Amino acid sequence: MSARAKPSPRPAPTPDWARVVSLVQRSRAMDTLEETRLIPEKKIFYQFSARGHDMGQVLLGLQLTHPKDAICGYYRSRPILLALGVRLEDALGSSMGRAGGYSDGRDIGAVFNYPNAHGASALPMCGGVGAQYTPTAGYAQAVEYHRRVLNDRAFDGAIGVALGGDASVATNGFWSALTMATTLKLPMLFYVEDNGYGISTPGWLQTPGSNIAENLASFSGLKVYDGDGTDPDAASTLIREAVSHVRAGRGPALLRLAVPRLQGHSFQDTQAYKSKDEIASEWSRDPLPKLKARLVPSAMSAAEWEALETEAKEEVERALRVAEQRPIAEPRGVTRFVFSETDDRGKVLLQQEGGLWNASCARPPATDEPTPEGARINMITAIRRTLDHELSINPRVLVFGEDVGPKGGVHGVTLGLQEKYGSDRVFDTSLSEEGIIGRAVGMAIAGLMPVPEIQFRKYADPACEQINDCGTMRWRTANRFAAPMVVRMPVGFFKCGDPWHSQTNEVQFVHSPGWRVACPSNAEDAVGLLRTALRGNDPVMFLEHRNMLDAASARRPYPGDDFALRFGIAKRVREGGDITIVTWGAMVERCEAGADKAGASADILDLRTLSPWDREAVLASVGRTHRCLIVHEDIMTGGFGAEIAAVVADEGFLDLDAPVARLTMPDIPSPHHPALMEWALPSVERIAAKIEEMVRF
Amino acid sequence: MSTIDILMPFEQEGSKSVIRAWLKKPGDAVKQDEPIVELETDKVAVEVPSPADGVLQSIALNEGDEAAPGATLGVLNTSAIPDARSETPDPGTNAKSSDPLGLGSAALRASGRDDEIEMRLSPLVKRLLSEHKLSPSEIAGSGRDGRITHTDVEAHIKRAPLGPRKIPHDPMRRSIAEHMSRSVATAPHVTAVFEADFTAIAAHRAKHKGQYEKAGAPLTYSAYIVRAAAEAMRVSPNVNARWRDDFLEVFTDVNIGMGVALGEMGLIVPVIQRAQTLSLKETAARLADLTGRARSRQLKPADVQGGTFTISNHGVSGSLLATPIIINQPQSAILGVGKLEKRVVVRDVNGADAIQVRPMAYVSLTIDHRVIDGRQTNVWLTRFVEVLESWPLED
Repeated sequence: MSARAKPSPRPAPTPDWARVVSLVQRSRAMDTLEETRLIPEKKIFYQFSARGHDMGQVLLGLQLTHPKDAICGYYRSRPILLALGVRLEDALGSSMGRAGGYSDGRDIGAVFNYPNAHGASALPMCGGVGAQYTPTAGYAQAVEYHRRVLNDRAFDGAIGVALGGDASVATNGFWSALTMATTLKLPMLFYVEDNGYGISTPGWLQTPGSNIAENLASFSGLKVYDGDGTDPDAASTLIREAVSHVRAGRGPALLRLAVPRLQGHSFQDTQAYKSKDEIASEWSRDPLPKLKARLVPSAMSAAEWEALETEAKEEVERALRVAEQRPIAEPRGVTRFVFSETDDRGKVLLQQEGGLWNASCARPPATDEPTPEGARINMITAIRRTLDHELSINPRVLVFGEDVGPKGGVHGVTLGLQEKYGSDRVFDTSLSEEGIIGRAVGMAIAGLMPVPEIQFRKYADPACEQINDCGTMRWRTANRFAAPMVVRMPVGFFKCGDPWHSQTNEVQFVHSPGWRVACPSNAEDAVGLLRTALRGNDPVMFLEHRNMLDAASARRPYPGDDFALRFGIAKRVREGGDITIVTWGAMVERCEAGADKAGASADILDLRTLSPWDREAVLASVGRTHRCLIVHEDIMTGGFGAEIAAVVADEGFLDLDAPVARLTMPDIPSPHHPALMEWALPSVERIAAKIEEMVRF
Repeated sequence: MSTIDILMPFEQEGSKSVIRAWLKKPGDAVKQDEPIVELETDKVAVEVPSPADGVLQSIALNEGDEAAPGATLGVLNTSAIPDARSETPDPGTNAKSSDPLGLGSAALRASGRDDEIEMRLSPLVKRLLSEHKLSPSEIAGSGRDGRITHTDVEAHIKRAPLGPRKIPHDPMRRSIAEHMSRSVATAPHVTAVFEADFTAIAAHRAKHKGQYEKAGAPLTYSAYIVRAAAEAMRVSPNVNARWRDDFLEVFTDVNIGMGVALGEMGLIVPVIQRAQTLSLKETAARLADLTGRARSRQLKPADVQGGTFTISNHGVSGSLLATPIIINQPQSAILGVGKLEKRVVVRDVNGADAIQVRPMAYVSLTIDHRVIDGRQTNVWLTRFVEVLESWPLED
């Protein structure tokens, strides 16, 4: 049910209209500056004016006064950023790609982020439309977590606001977030600025009838507001009501405000698809003259209005001068901050927002020496025990995914954890991998350690955008933001294969900058790597091989609650001099058997992690054996073995007395019938034959 | 190398057997019980299995030949390392069999040149060859297709001396080098060769050596040679001379130096002073003393000074003849005595030629042709040989 704007003869007690005018004028002046000077002067390359959307965004921004509020928007969200306090020189400098600002010139100026310890922050936006929604839902869920589980009163009343255009309501992320917000009653506001276009695509293709508010009017658990974003009073009232509704804990709300897009999508867009009449009609709805008419003379004099306009222009000029002084970042530095970095003395160069360590978490003792205790346990038990321990000592850890609650996960790994820690900390999610990973991003930025589970490797496909954007977050914000998390994912074959449950494809994550990738072959390594990930400052893919979860060869005694294995250290499971075998996961035991069968003296290295991987150990081994065989389950072309082979051929060239070889599955999905599957997998016989062939070369 | 004959089975159904087809060719690796050749009788076709693991070395009977029971069909080499090439499937037709998935490196799978040796060198092998300054032609390859592997290179390095041997010159080597070069540059060396019959010497020595020994003068052939040389100087005195810029200095005393080999330490030449005055016994005694002290490194400077003539007993170490023997500066000639060995010679016996076996040695005089000419050389040698050959049996 949409609220109706009440007529108001006088300016409402809030907002601070002078401030509104000031901010809108600044936004307009920046739009004009960019369009008329900076673009022609080729000082900026991506330009998105916000004319028409500015008043609504400013009004909304001025409502976000809680220190723990957060927004996440899209490329046309500069006005709200200004309202939150982003400095003009940062906005301009970022547009010009200079050092400092949002990203040190690493990202375009329209992709904003705003860390703010004392006020509302802007979660790092992404270039892809629709990606803003699920992280915002995650942030909102984190607000609830801080309030209910951590009893942090500082989060009382905080909300998350996702801004998007009318076209964004067609995206996967929008619907996934809507599901989350409404089913979990999250303190989240969906702010939809409806200008009727997604670049050139009209709104009726994004939602039937072009009005998402009307379509969602009866959506259970969602308070819907709909109005005119160009009417100062109406917009102001609706915004205030929507924000209040969410702040009061009454559940999520969606506010749609109709606004005109008074220029093209971007500077490049000539709007040839709009008729002259249409454009004229849009300009007639320009909120700025309406604002002037509304305020002058009842709230301020014409002179005051002019003064505000002049001051805004001068401020923008001043900011331009400052921004133009800013240098371009040192090009060599562009490789920094893909991952968490330390200074010379080993102290972490912490991001400004996001992660456990920002929240001054105490660091528990850790050792990389295992202290095995008791009987051997399988990987399932080992992982569960590690999660259990970390959940118990770190209240910021939360474990979630499809069926991880009462069922304990389809592989049984989380069995009993919800019972022990409650459904606020261990819970089932909706069937949306985008939602699972997206919310983890928001939670991580809010200072939690989310441990999302993707049920099977292949099901990570829908989450790819969120996975990629999470990985690059530290780099593209130049270390202002990071979202450390541990994504648990079963990989590989089991008793049978199939294209949907048996994929490995670890290389995809290695190829996504910013992700650490762990692939333990046994229970001890699983404990050590998982613990390091759960206490770390980088996002980690923790790959649990299905066939190794209960395999006899993978069982080990529990190595202790302090055992935390550093990433990037291979384990030499067997020492030998004739050939180096590099492998991981389920192939480790097969390589050992293959070496036995071939009667070869093999140096077998279990990499344990693929990002980073232990290049030094591999090259040192090849320096001794002069032959290198890589065995992995993933398909051949472009599998991670190709990377290892390239490095060995390059850096170990003068040590090689035989070609670097790979033994893998062929370039096919996993076949279902066990006989077909076994034939396609690297078998012990095939490994032995390859070893023999190489040793005889 | 051990081999086994591949035999035709004794019991065959049917009357005669004919070789139908060889399933392996020479050079192929075979495993025990693997069929090697197919036989055909008028009743059945039979496979003959390999008696052991090895390499088929040769075929005795060809396809179409009749094979009698027990006949040797071929020979199996059981100690050969199977030619790795033959175990790699022909990539053209059989790539699938060892690589059914179509995976794996082509380099490992395919041996490209069926009958050629793999000459290409791996990066490691190239590096090792370069570091040790070796040529691939020096090294046999034991890898696939005869490829040189790094173990082949390393084995070669272990066996061979480390690089070219470099022995720094010691002072003695430098001294010898200087002396020899200078001598040859100074004196035009010419050599005349005679042969000497040592029958008379041998007879005298046999008769008297015991007594000489008791007298502290052990009789060696060298003693006779020194005496004969001293005698020869009488008839050709210029052999005992020294070239000076404006005159020839002909010495009265014949101070004969005798080369003594000192193994690794080289050569030393102690001098028998005034040899013309010494009897055989005195010569022998002097020789024994000098060579003994030479070998025990107890010579004094005076022992090696003042020589006017030198004798090189090179035949002791086997050479029949050596020329030129480099003159010991500032002397004018050097006598070389070759190996003493029994030879067949022709002698006049009662007016007729007779073949006899005599102890003979070539004796050569290398002269400085500035000082002496051919005639004086031969005169000297004639007398020298005469003294040796006519040595009286009694003292």
